[in-house]
Amino acid sequence: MQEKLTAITGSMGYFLPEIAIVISLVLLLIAGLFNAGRLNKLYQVLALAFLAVTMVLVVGQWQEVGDLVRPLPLFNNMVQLTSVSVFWKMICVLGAFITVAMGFGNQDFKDKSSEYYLLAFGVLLGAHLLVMANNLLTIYLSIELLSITAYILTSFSFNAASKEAAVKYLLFGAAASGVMLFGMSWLYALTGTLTIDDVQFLDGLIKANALPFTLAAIMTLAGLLYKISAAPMHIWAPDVYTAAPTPVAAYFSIVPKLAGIGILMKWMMVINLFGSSPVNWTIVLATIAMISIGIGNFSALWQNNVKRLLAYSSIAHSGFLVAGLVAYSETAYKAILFYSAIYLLMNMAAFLFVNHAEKEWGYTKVEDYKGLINVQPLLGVALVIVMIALTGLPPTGGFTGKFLIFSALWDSYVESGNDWSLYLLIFGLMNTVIALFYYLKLPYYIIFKNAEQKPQKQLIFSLQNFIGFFLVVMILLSFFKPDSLMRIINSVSFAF
Amino acid sequence: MENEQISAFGEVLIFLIGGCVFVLGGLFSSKLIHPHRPNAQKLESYESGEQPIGSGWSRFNIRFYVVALLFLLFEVEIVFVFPWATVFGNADYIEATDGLWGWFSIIEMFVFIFILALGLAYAWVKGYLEWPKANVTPSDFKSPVPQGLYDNINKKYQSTKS
Repeated sequence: MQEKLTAITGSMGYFLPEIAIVISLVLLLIAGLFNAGRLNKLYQVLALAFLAVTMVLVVGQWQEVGDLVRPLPLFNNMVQLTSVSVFWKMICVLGAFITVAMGFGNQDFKDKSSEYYLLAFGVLLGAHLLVMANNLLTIYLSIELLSITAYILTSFSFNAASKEAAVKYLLFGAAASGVMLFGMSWLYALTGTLTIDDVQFLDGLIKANALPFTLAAIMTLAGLLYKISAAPMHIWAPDVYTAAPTPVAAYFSIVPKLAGIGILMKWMMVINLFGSSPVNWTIVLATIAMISIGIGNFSALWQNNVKRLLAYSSIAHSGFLVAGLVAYSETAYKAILFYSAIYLLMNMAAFLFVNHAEKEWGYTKVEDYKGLINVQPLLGVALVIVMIALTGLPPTGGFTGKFLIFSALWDSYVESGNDWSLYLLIFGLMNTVIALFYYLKLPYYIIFKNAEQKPQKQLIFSLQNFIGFFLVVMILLSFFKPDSLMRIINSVSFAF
Repeated sequence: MENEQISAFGEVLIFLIGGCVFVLGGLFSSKLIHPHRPNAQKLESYESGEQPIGSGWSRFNIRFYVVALLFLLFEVEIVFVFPWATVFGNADYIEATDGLWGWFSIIEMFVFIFILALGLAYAWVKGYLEWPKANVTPSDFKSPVPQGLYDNINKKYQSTKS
């Protein structure tokens, strides 16, 4: 009893960012009780301040975990603090910060703004717990926390389309988490423990029959794939991204997805069972990656709505992240971290500019962007750079990220003779060419078409555009000088 | 594979089976011994002795769902406070942990109840507890009964009541 209690109270010291998030959530809720309609801006400033505090705490943790040799178990091993999880937490807080900086755009429902920000904190808390989770129960609960807050955020456009998307998301999410929970119950029946890095857990799985183990692992995998919107669990993404408010779509494309990738990396290490797994997971993952990349890219070709296009592009990007898992090596996992960081930069930048264009000029379709470069040269050029980065062409960080993933795949083919890595590599390269067609559609309209009606020349100075241009500079910098990001990632250690 | 935790589920299984047996056994034995003489009145659905009107699948106000959600607030509270109360004051635990147990559990419970209370405050401030009355438009029907008669009756029963 004594040890348990001291373990819990002792863990609190390593749990500061999460405690900060909970306290900010409660404070925002209390602040929201007062005249929410008029204090809209205050909530945004408060939320940004709280996120800055959280960021400081997470960076503090980064310095603490630097000299950790083994993962630090917290709360009786329900969660684990590792350098990887702190890296993911930094990415999540950064994503949340940019999202909150975009603000709550809905002018007709200003009294709902405090709820909007506190739900964003809810998603962030779920993501933080998910990347640290070391127990099937923690995984399930944090995925539910992520999902339920996300369902509500989806409906924050307060129109028929967003309600429909939210209900679809809810139904699909409920089914996916139900399947995942069922899989987890099988894993518990096979092993008698929920702690995923426990010797008993791994032993039980190694001794288990192939069929129940495979079914249980795949069912659990399905819930995680749903969170990262990889095929075949991607169906919700386009509707949700289109109908949800643009900042929320940006948030969904970063935080839940990358947190899901974070736990997926851990989960693949577990169910690989030190190579003695009855299933060759590289084949399963390679198939998933190929379908995701294929569906994402081919569906995006026909899209006219910019947000829908970005939704399909995010499905394709999930495919590339899963491709890193196929290579399954320390370098590959580091490539995933690099790709995720770059993905955060470029996707957030894209959504920031799309949000600006939608709010200020009402642009939703690709055609609307006709001749933007003549009116707003700076914004036009920035969008072109972001689109080039999303395609994965130099001179942007998007190229470096894809290059690292592909070279990890090549290494895995050369070293372990894994044919699927080669197939995936070829497929991925071919798809980058296909991606060119739809990503460059937007630059084509921006540069080469002339608008019939030009929007008023106006100043585009705002916090979100400032962040957007900053991100664009970072995208370019990450191509020319990727070493500082690489240094951060190299200090991350995986328990291979 | 032989695990204490898993074998504990055997007890749960016995409870599940026991529950099913009791319900099905009751239904089956009544089926065996009850007389079977139905008529139209008996087959009618029971509505507190009234004649049922319309379908049983009628729509009802969405506010009931909000009330149900608010009820969950108290439900969750009681579900957790009860087990907590049984172990909170446990003298052995407090002694074994040098008083830490008591402080720990009381702080935990205060945080928990505070957050739940905040939920109630939220619902209150945002006006989800209010039940707006339907706006009834008076009809232009002229009653042949003079108002005085009603007033007389009201007065009569008012006096007897008090």
